[in-house]
Amino acid sequence: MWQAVSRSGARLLMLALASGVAASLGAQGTRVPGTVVIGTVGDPSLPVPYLGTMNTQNADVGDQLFLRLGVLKPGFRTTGDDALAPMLARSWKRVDSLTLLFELDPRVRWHDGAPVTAHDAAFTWSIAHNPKINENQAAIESIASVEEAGPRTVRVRFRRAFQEQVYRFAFDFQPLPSHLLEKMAPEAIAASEFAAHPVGNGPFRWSRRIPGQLVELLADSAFFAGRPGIARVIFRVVPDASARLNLLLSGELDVMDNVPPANLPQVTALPSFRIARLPGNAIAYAVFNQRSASDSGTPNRFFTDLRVREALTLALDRRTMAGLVYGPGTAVPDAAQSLLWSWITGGTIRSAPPNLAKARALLAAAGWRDTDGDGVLDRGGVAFRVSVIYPDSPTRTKLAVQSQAMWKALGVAADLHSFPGPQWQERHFRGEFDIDFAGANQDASPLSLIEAWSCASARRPGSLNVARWCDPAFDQLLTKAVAGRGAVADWRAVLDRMTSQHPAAFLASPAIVAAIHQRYENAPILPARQWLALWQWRIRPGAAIARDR
Amino acid sequence: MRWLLRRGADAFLTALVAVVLLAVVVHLLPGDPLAVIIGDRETDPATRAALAASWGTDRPLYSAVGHYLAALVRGDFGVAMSENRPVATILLERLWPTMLLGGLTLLIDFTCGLALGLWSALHPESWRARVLGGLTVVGYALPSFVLGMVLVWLFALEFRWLPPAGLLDQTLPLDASLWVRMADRLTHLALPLATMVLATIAVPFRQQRAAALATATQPWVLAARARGVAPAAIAWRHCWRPALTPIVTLLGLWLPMLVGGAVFVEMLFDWPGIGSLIAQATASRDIPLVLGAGVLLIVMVQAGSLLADLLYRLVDPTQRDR
Amino acid sequence: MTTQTKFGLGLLALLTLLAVVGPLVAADPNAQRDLLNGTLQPPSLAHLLGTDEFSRDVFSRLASGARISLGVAVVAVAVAAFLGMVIGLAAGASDGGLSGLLRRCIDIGLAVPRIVVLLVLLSAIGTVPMWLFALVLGATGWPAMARLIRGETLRLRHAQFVAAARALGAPEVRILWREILPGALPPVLVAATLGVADAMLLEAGLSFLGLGAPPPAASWGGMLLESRSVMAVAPWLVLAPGLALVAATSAATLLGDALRRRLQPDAK
Repeated sequence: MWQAVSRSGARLLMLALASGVAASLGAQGTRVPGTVVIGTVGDPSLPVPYLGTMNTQNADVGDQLFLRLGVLKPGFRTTGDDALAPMLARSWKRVDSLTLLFELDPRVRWHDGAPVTAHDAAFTWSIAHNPKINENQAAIESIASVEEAGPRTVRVRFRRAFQEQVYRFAFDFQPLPSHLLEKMAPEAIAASEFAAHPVGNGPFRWSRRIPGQLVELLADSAFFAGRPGIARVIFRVVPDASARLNLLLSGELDVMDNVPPANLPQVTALPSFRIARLPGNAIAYAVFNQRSASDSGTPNRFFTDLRVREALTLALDRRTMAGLVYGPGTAVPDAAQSLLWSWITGGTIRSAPPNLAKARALLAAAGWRDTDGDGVLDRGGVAFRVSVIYPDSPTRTKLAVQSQAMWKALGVAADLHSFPGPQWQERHFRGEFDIDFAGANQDASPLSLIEAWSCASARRPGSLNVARWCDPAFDQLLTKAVAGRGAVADWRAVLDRMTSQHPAAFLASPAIVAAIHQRYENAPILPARQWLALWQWRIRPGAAIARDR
Repeated sequence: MRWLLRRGADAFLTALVAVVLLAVVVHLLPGDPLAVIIGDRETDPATRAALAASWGTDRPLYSAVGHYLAALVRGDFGVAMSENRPVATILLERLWPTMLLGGLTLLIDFTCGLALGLWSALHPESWRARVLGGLTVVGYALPSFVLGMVLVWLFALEFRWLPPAGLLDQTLPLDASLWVRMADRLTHLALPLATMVLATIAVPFRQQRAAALATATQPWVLAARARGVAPAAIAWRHCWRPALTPIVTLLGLWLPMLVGGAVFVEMLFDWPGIGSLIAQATASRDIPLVLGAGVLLIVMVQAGSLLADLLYRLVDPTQRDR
Repeated sequence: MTTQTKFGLGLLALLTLLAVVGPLVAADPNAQRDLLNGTLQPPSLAHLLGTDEFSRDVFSRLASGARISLGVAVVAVAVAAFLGMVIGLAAGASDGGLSGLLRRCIDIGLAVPRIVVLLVLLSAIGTVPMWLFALVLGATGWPAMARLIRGETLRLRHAQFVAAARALGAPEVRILWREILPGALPPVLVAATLGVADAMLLEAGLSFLGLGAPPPAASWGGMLLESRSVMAVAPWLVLAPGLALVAATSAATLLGDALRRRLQPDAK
């Protein structure tokens, strides 16, 4: 449960989460027409899973069209076979440590009326598994096979035993209609009529796309879990952030899931919107490179020393920074922990306060002093001048610029280099930086720590462990937590070890700050996949506006 | 006819050389041209090989550029890196909004701009003409994006008279009356069009005023005035036509400027045209898309000035057979 | 001196003062004074033009931005004028094939929207240092200048004093350098002054698209980009760099017009 702040003051709002057995809205008798207009940053040009680039906008539209086998429950734990609530799969059972059987719900039909079968799942696996079609093979790497074990029974085999098998398969897998696609060459599907007018099995069906402008979906009145409370969803393409905000302010958009803090007062001042804060899966941090910025073979001359890493973290007033960049009250962690993982630390996320005096003492102990009086620390003739990179988004720019000024007070000169996303990413993965203002949308699962912070990932080129961070003690704890039965204390020990080692200055675990038009009641927005529960939204009786009809 | 052929060949050659230069620039930049095109996106070896083949980056420069030109002729602009779709498809989707906004701007600039220029030349001492002259200096100096920002702030967010962005309201019911649709189109056009016109009208205005001022002191105008011909008639018969001559030269200068305005204004108002496309592609460093949009803009500018030339010759008989 | 010229000179003086003296008297443009309570402050005595999202003093940033924006524009125009001069002189003074070729080049350069070339170039190069940015800006501005100089050269080549010099046996290069170039300078000066306005607008526009000086540098276009999303909350953040930009480009246009009237009284 979380707080939803409304204009009239804080009040707790019960938000029903996606669960397959939600009260059928159709059963209420009267159909409430309604429209939701959502702004997207890009054109959802191919919103079919596995076929195209799975950018946010394609995935958001695809979420409405193609059901997952299961969805996350409130609390967002990902471990254990009971982690998910049923959706397309009615139930599942375990055969052995590597095999699961999923039973598809017989009520689910494709929008053309055909039933959804286990054959669809097996066919979709052949698509997802084909590296020529699906670029993202890493996401399904742990799955060995998906087969038909009956008309509606799907057998899934994994390559290894781990706690999150159900989550990994059932949340990520979205079957496609085999009866429409099987006759085509797999490579031709992306350019086919199907890709232009997808036929799905989700709560909303395809209506139309106007390139560069919008995608329109209409409620599927035959949706198995009950008719959606909203008749029409429009994803409107508004690449420009300011234009998006202006459209929200002028009432042309109905919801925005990332209101910039600087504009929060403006949105709050509008009587037609309420603000909701929801737990997000993002973290932002400034990671200290363990390798030299110019030569990945040599260790970094500044950051292999724990005292230096701790000093640079302590010099930052992270709470103030996070508040300015992401909104007041934003949580600041001491380890890589997004709000989704707050269950590990008892529901709250805490961090050490800034301490400039201690930071100075630590640097002095490490031998960094300003001997030549130029305001920049030095040691053995080398100035403490670091190369900082960050992508040119407003939030990261703000974090970098703020940190630069605070490190300057410490005597550390930071040269800022901003790049557009792709360019930044190249330097990020090549490790061409001393400090990198990075961010991650963490998987709901803490297992992703392996990919980002373990010694094994440090050795693998191209891994998420861009700073080549390696701490054997951390790895031991991580192995223990993964192998164990998901005990909270084990995961807590993992995060505590990270906290004590300061591989990065962790800056924020931001919440999703959403503006939702007042006329919606029961309007859940979920972390990670925001619009997965859109079909449960509905218009408050009598509150409909012109475009709802 | 011979003139048309020559002028057409001229425009074609200009566009061709410009396109070749752009392609050469992309291939000649420091670093591997393939790396420039891919722009640091994650690609597997197979995709890289396919891209290298389709862009000809594995060949010598002249061959690679020739390859690109041959592909352009076939209508193949390459594949946009950020969307993984053919650039040509994306450009086609974006073409008509730009034509609409650009065409209307051209129309208003050349009717109102020329008329105001002429009027202010005929009344050089009046305070209105002075104010107008001052305003055009500011209009010329005011960047379109600053003007657009202020207009959005005032008319869309403060007064809430006009929509802040977009081409039209897509949520209108399908059975909305023609009037409702027209009004919707017009309200969406108002701010971007006003910004475009205010940012570009100074050029035809100043040109026409200067030309008309020069004509107004010619002996035949003085003679007409001495004969007691009405000022309006003088303006029409003696000043308007002769002053049109420099307009054609002006077009060459003015069309490229229109493109510059379009980039910012379309981006600001989220107008789904070529200008906002090139701004987005620039932001995501999608080189094939930037290049494709650049090629299209160059061709449009050439076609536009050719067309204007042609119309002008049709209107003005003295220009024929030259 | 007309009112317009006086006005232009006044603006120029103010802006020069801002660029030269401003950064000396104003505080550090990148210092974040009070991130907790000092962001987006309206203009006051402590902060003449208010503060931005980072609690930085907008006046300081405007002053240091004046150096960047004016500096880039002036360098760019100098580069464009130099290139234009060389190409224009060569086109005007040479005969036959070379002359025709150069004329063609100039025509093509004029026909291509400068913004398109700049967008392709800058997006392909990536982040650029200020000097390179100014250079690229200048390198795309030569065609207009070259056309002007070519025209002047053609006119002067047949002037009496040039013929006289030629009759005296002066070498052609010397004639170009000593006789023709000085004669061609007045229109170049006019065009360069007007060109400063264009270069400033382009610099601001490209910075506005995120292709200009990287943060925390305070170019006026960059300031506009940063302040765009908070315009309704903090309009002074847009007005300060916006008005500065208009003042600078107006000054350049007014002075260009004035120079034209002074140096080329016969031209339209």
